[in-house]
Formats: sequence, C-alpha cells, structure tokens
Amino acid sequence: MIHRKPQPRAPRNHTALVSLPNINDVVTPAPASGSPSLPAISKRKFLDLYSSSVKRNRVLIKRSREDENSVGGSGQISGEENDVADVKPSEESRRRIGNELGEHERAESTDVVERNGDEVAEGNLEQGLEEWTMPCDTKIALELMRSQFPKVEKSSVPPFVLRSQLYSSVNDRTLVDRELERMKLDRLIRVFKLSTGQDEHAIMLMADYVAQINASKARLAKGKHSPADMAVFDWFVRHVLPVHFDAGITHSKLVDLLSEGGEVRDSHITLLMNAGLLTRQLGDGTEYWLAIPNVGFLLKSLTGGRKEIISFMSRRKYKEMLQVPLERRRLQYSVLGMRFHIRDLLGLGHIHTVNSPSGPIIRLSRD
Amino acid sequence: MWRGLRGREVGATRPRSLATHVRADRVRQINLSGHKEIVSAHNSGINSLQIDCTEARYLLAGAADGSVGVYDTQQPTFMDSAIKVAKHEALFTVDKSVPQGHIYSVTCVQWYPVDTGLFVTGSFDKKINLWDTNTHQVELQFEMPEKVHAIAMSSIAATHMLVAAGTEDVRIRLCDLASGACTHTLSGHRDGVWALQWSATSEWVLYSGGCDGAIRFWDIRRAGCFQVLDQNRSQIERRSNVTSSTQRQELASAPVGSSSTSEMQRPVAKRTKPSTVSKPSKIAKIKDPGVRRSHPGMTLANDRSTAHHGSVTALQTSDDGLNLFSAGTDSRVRLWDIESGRNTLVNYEATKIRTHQGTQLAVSMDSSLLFVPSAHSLQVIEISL
Repeated sequence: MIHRKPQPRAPRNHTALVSLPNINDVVTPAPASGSPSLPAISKRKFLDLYSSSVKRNRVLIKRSREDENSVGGSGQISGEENDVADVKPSEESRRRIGNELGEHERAESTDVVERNGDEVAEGNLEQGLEEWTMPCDTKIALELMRSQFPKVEKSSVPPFVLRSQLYSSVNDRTLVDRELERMKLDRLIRVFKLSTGQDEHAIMLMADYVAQINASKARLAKGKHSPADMAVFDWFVRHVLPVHFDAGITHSKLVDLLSEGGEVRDSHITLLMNAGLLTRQLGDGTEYWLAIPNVGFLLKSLTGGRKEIISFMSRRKYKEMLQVPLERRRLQYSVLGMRFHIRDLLGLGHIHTVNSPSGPIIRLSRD
Repeated sequence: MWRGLRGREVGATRPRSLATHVRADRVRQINLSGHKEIVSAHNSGINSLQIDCTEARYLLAGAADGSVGVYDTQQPTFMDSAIKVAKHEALFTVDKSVPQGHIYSVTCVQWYPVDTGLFVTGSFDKKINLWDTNTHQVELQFEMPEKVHAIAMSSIAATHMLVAAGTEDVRIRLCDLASGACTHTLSGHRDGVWALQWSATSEWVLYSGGCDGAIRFWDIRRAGCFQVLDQNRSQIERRSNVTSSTQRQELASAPVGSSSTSEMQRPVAKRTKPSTVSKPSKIAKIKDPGVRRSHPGMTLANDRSTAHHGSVTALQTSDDGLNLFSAGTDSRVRLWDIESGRNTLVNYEATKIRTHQGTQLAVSMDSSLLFVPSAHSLQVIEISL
C-alpha cells in the first residue's frame, strides 16, 4: 500500500495545464455548432475525473526537471510508454525497489517526491513532458537514500550513498552497476573508492561534490596561500572532473589536465592533497585516489558501526534479531544510524533478512 | 529422457539437440552423487583437479602433501554392494618417494592436451615436472626461480608444446616440452602471477592474471603484451566498435567507454568541451619523447590499470572464446569481452573469495553456468550476457 498525502487541487489557472488534453475544449461547448456535440460537464467534474492523473503528472514533471541530461533508463524500462494515463511505471519502479525495511520507507519516498512536485507544477510543463524520461531504479534508490542520510552536526560532509546500499535496495546488481556507469558518464554522480575495504565505493551527486570542494577551498583560504595557488581548485573542477570519470588518477594525467588552467607546480598538488581531494595510493608513488574531503570521521563511524552490529548479532543466542526492535537500538560507535548500517551490511552479504510471522528477522550469514 | 530418446530414434529431434538438452538438465539439477564415490589417496587438501579433455575419463589430482593421483571416473575399482556405492580408488599415486618427485605442495596439474600419456605438475618446491603416466616417472624437470602457482598448456596448439608457468616471480616463463628448455620470458606484471589461461581461439594468445590485480593478454609471437584489462573501461550491453589493436588505445565513441590510464591517450578525442586555444599546445605536451621511442610491444609495460582491486585468483575463458571470467580477492567475479577488452559490468553476487593462492573457475559446456568456489561452498551462477 502506498500512502499518499492529500494533494491540493489543480490551480484554477488553466493556462498552466497546456500540455494536458485541453480542458477548455472539452468542457466549454464549441460555439460553431448549435447543439453541443460533447456532453456538458462542469470544469470541477472534469478536474475530479482527471485529478488523480494530474497529481501523478506532477510527479512525472518533477523527474523531468532533474533529468535534464535525459538519463536513458536501461533496456527494461525504456520500453514503457510516457502516457499521462499510464503512470504505473513510476509506482512500479518504486515498488520494485523491493525495500524490505518497511513501508514507511515507501511512504517517505512519495512524500519527498510530492513535496517537491508542488513547487514545480507551474514550471515548464509542455517542455517537461516532451523531454521526460523514465528515471531508472538506481536513480530512485539513490535519491531515496540520499534524502535519508543522517544529519551529523560534527562534520559537514554532504550525503553520500554506499554501493552496497544500492545493491540491497535494487534487485538486480548488474542493473545497478550499469546504470551507475551511465550516470557517471552523464556527469550526474561521482564514484569514489573508500579506504575501508577492498571494494567499497561511495556515490555522491556531482552538485554536492562541487559544493564540498568549494567549502574546503573556503576553509583553506583562511590560511596563508597565494591566490595563484587557490586557483588550482577551479582548474580541478573545470578541467579534471568533467573529463576524468575514474576513481583514481595518475600523476601525469592529473598534471596534464590541470595544466589547461595554467602552469602546474608541485605546491598545487600539495594543496589539493591538504584539502583532502587527493590521496596517494598505497604501494604506488604516482597514483592518486580522488577522495571526499573531511570524510574521515564518517569512515571511522562506518567501520565502527559495522563491527558493532556484527559483534552484537554474533553474541546473541541464535545470531538473529527482529528487525523492528533492532532498528530502534542506538549505536555507540557510529553516528550514521542503524538503518544506514543495516542496508550496507545487507548489500555486503554479512546479514540477510528472513520473513517470519512476527515480522522480518535479521540474521547473521554463515559462510 | 526416454521420450527424448524415442524422438531421436524416430528422427523427430536431432541427436545433438537431445544431447545438449540432457546435459543442460543434468547440470541444473546438480547434486552430490549418491552412487559413486572417489576415494582420495591423499593425506591432505587437494589443490588442483583436472579431467582429461580427450576422453573425459581420467581425473588428475594434485594435493598439498606433494602427491599426485590419477583416478578412473568411469570404471570403479570396488563395488560395495551393501550400500550400493561404486568406489573409485586411485589408479596410482606419485609422491616424494619417486625420484625427482615433488617434496612440497603441488599447486597445479594438467594433462597433456593431446593424450593421457603425459601430465605436467607444478609445485611449491620451485619445480615443474613432466610425468609419464605408464612408467610413473619424471621425464623432464624445469627449475623455476620461485614457487610455482599456475601452469597452462594450450589445448588447441598444433605447432608448439609450450607450458606457461606463473610463479611468484614477476615474469611468466614458457617451457618447451620438445626441447626441455625455457623458450620465452614474458615480463610486464608487477607481482606474482597466479592465474594463466590459453586462449580458446588462438594457440598463440595467453591470458595471465597477477597478484597486482592486472590481467594481461600476450601474443607469444611478439614482444610484450598487447592488452591490459582495465576495470574502469566498460561497455554496457554492446561492444562499441571492434577495432584493431592500435586503435584500441584511443577512446571509443562518446556514449560508451570511459577514460583509461594509459599514457598513449589522445585527450583531443575524448574532450567533450574542446578549448580551441589550447589544443595545439595540448598535443605538443602529451607526446613526451620517451613514449615514442619505445618498442611497440613495450608501450603497455607502464600501464598500471587493474582488473581487480585485489589479486586475480582465477581466469577462465568461455567455450566460444568470446568472454573471459576473472575472479579476484576483492570478492568479485568479472566478465570481460575479449575482443574489445572491456568490462561488461555483469555483477555476480555473493562470492566470498578469500584465498592465498590461485583457484579454478569452471564453465559448463553450453556456456550457461559458472562454477565459483567461494569460502566454504561452491556457487553455481547463471551467466547472463
């Protein structure tokens, strides 16, 4: 069951609804013919009939504003129609996320979507409908989790999502990988390799990342650095980020890309490393990982929280616990929240859910 | 099954389609056999197994105590009628008691591809032995500088009898069985080589995977490797364009394929917002003289792209020779398109590969299932292409 909040009525200003089958044509009888060929229905009744689709149309429009780069969904989804009446796909795709963590997740996703939808209803609807493409499963899951990222007062890192969390939310892992790759090439997101494990990746929206770079630049500007040195941040954002999509970069490539902005010196690279944007790769002198600045505290939280949950579960008699009381527990070593860690561990395969008559149970996986 | 046989008799179904159908059915219902048991003659864990490709009858097993055993899988040696189980004991075993036998753990075994008269074994005592099956003696012995992790012989080779040997040393050696000497040394890896596989389509192409996480393709008639697989270069669903090896260095068309770390990249091709002013200076800067002067086979020697974040533990080509599976210690099994050299981004889940040496992967005969050993179990995964 998807719980929807009551929607306000469509605006009386019909010019905004230009793209819909024109209400005025249907409702007001054509002046040319004497007898009304169409049944006379009042505007209110028409709106009642079409109100549900109007609501859903708003949801569609909201998506189009975000997907301005026209993210093409994978082969499975792109075949579906863009009809106004046929809106099942967006609900289906939300349902398809298969989020076992409770229906309140789904309710929250629709809340997020409809809250933003209200703002956009008066926007460029006609253009929006034409350019609208179905958002892919991964994008929906990504936005859902980003909106639920816990607020941490201590650090100012914008929300990121771990790849294992996406794996636990979307059924098909290959689909997640491919859609992430496509979004990466469309420059919507940025994927970073974390130092917490061998295959850990964090995904952040490009806009968030650029904002974080600017924040760290502002923080560094308080120190004594010449403005010529500070220009390296602009070169990074303008020349390196749009072109280089990998999580790592070699020294020579970095220098080549940065030198489009100006002459690059070693002090520039040092400045980038001090800001936390670059980290040296272990065992290799000349390669760097691109990194999120100021993320160290959260990574410590991540590993601590994981270890805490696993040790807690392994201490229990049958290595399992009901999900709902588990989510209510507080973590001592992590600020990221129980839900974040549960999703992450589900994606990694360390725990799995089992359905039982008293609700979903989280069980520790045995090798 | 009987209906299928009747159909084949009558001519309703083709014999080959019946055979593949039965095989596919059996593979999907795979289970431990209750009526056949192979009695192990070894006192320790078994590191490597192989059934010969000529008759699919004899099983060769190499164990961690240095012993190698040969078993007949079709003819039981002993029939236990009480519990109705056919027991297959070893036809013979060779261990350190045989002169020049292995004293440390045997890590890899392989039958001679032409017939079962010879087999090759490699072990941690830094030696590779060629054994005669009938006399149970060592015919040839090759000395390696380090512990041997992987050996491979090409099953389609018609003109050469080379055994590729991967050791903890960074170089791959090719040993010739006809002459008894090492003919080639392939260098390019930065750490030990744990996985070797010859190509299923060409007798000159060798795939190797190393501890440094790189997978390299070698053509043994030329110097150096001709391709290094990079996990960041990927294709989604289709190959972008199948080009010659020289053009593979440049970036493919814009929607598919991302940047590579190779230094031969021409940034002009991949720039999406070209800045016309700096273009000429850009080209001049990229071509540093050192790269131009090196041998064409050595251009990829400095390429550090990795196929896995950890070490590569196993390689396996699919039967049709178009795809390559690779397993790594980052618990990932990746599927690569051999022709274009790109990661197909197919994600095989739930693989916990935590090994300290190379392992084996296996692909079913109709190339639909992949067998991956992971932690304490064997995962059977459907290959989706």
